[in-house]
Amino acid sequence: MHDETSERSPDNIIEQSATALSVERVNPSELNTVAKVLAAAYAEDPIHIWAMPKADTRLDDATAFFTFFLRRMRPYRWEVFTTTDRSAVAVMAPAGQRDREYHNGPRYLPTLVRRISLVAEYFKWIETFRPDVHHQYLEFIGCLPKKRSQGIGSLLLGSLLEAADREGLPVWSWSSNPRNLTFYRRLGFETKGELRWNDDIPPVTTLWHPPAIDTSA
Amino acid sequence: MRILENLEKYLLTEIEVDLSNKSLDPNEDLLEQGIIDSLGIMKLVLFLEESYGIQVDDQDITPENFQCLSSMVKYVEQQLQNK
Repeated sequence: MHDETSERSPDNIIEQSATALSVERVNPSELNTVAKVLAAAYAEDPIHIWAMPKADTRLDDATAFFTFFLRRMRPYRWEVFTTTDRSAVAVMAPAGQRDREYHNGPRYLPTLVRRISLVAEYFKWIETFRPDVHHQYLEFIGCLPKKRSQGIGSLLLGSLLEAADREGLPVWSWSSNPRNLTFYRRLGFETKGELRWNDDIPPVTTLWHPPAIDTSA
Repeated sequence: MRILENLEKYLLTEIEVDLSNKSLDPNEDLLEQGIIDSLGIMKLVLFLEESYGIQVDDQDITPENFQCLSSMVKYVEQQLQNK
């Protein structure tokens, strides 16, 4: 369940197992904190390494990217979720079909200034493969490296998938990190094949989580 | 610190703009010259918001405002007046 009322400070959280955690929406005042979590989580992601090739500044660069993105996504109805210990973060775009609004969204704002951004072009190309049915788009999910293998990412994504199931909504996503595919499959995602733009750019695998079949009717 | 100097310092140190003469012409076209990339724009926007307590609206992230140091200074001054 999403706990929207909790205001627990991360400082008060001590080591605990995933079973003691719950999932809540991120308060706007915490966007800088969760941007850092995502930046650390994506440090070894092939696309991020390609997009931010300078290893010595990558963490700062990624933090800037996520901070910019998270601060600006609110008018577009994106939602940010985290576990109560702030070790895992997920960003979910609103349900919809391939979203015209999305292509004018905050991630692409800098490309209004710079005419060419290969990264933005690649992301836009990937997103043309979004299915033409009503669905949610799992934009980002990441867990702090030191907190992995404790079920925290599964708790977070599992909670979001349960909510999508209750709405009867499928969830679409993609990953450029082959090591994460097992994680997604375990949570019920189907891997729908590899997209390869060209040989210089890491390919991605698209992911599809069909809605649970409602047997209550 | 004047806005111009502050911005120039930020570009040179944080965005690591590589200039042999270590000085930027305030009217140099940073976009056309490829001196700042998309990530640089994001960093600049965050820097302006945090340094000057202004809110850079989405519709203000335009080539007109971010083309050169002079245009950025002008934009910040306008925003500070409107605060």
